[in-house]
Amino acid sequence: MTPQSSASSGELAQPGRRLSPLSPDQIRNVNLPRTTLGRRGYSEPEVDLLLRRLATEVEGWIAENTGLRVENERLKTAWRDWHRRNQPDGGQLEPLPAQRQPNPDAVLLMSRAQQEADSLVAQAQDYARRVTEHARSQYEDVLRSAQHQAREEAESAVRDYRARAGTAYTAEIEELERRLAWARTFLGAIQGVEVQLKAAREALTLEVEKLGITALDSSRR
Amino acid sequence: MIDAARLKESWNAVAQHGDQVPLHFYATLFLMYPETRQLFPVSLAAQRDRLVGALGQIVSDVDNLDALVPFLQHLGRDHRKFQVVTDHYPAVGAALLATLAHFLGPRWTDELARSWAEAYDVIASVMTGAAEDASRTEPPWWDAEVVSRELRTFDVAVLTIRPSHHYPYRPGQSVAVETPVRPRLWRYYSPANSPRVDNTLELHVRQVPGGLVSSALVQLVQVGDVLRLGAPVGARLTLDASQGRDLLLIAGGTGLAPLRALIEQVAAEGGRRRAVLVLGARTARELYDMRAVLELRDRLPWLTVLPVLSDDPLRGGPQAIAVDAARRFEPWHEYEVYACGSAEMVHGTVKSVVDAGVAPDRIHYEEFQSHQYPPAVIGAANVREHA
Repeated sequence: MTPQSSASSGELAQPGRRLSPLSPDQIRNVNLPRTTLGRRGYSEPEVDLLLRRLATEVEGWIAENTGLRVENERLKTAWRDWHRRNQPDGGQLEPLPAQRQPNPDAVLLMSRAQQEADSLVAQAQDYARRVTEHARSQYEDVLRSAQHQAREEAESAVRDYRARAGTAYTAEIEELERRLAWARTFLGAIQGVEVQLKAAREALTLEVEKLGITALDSSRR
Repeated sequence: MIDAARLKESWNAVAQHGDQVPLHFYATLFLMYPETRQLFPVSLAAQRDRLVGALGQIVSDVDNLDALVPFLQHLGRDHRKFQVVTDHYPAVGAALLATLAHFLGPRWTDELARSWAEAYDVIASVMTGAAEDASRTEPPWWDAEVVSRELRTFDVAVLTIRPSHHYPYRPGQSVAVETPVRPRLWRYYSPANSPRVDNTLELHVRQVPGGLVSSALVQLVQVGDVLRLGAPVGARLTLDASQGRDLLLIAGGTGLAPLRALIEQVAAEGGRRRAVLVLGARTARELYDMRAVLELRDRLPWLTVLPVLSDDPLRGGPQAIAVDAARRFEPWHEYEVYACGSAEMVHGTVKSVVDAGVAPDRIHYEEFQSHQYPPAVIGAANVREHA
């Protein structure tokens, strides 16, 4: 199988070439194909956890690197200024660089703020993802156990009917008893799910709402 | 003339710095031109990858105008929906040159700066030219009112929306959708119907866990809300009326939407070919659109519907994934095969159908490259929001 992701193994290992670095977002959203049934592979939650951890680490390195680059610029400029002031001719001003550049400290601050925002949104999304997945798997567990319970109740209803029917026994009534018991048990169990599901959905909607960061939206609608 | 080798070499040197490059670019852009910030969503994590992807594509094709010009034209037309106007182009150019200068340091010579400035002028003029041409024939986006929203399963909703103006699309194409709940975040969905007289579109949305737009569409959007739609894109899943081969349509989950639209198209064209719809789902509960599908089957004698369940504890009997079930029936060599669903499902389906001996050029599906931009060039699909 070949990975279908942004960070395929082909990209990760190209001999003789410097690698194009993966961004935190690419690491977070890497889409690894599952192994085919019966083939061994790493545990999915562990892999997800590692990927999230790696994305956060890369984010940290990028922030640190950006800070160092700005610091480097600052030192170079300071050194040039010092050098110039100590020239015998009293230090004439160098011509301005051709490109208009905003203040490096402002760029650094802006980049840090953006990374902080990205990371918060990613965390919130990740939380929402886990809540939804948990709710979904709980929902399926409860359905499955409701089915199981209903089947057992149906069988026991049939046994009861046979025991008490005697000569009045008919296959139709047996089937009716079976279905009634099945439906009654199943519906009862499902009602429990509905309540749980509603609570989970409300919690999730609230989380999702928190993501609807509207501070910048005043200009629209 | 633009010095392609010099541009490529300098871009490759800058690109080695990875995510720091777009980070610096956007910080510079917003500091120099604060009014541009409001064009973007809060999180720029995905945006940065798209920017680098598009720039890399442009630079690598800079000496291949046959590929570059259509790419740029599409980019220019598509950016209208983001409310990008001609005035924004010089701002982006200035921030781009400042970013390149920053990362190249002493290697950023006057000569190189001139080459980049010239190249950027050409890029901007192709994009703005295409945007202006497009604005003569179509709006930058369409407003579309939500007329109904039905929650069909735990996490799938069917929305009916009515664009305020005629929305010209072909079945199988995708529509970029923006909600008022999540401004400036666009996700692609394929209409589940062929164009209707009343102009309405039906969107099938699965709530992707943690997905910002899909959760808004499934949970928060109300009847009466107004969505924005970008111009329709994509040609991977469209159907050519002149070519009359029978169709094998393999759908997983909400991947049903574009394939149902194709069935409606065949019906509208007179039903001159057979179609077999294999509808895969894990459980019967997940078959969220059976009423519409069965209604089509009852009305269209040339349509066969085969629902396939892969893992339903409530059902006995054999269970399989859609493509395996399909392979039990016919060799399908003479069919055009369309597949749509999750990345994993499409990948497995295509592989299996190729193994079965169907010619690759008869297999239609969309690639999943959600960090790439723009999607029309590389394909767009119905289920593709990242968590």
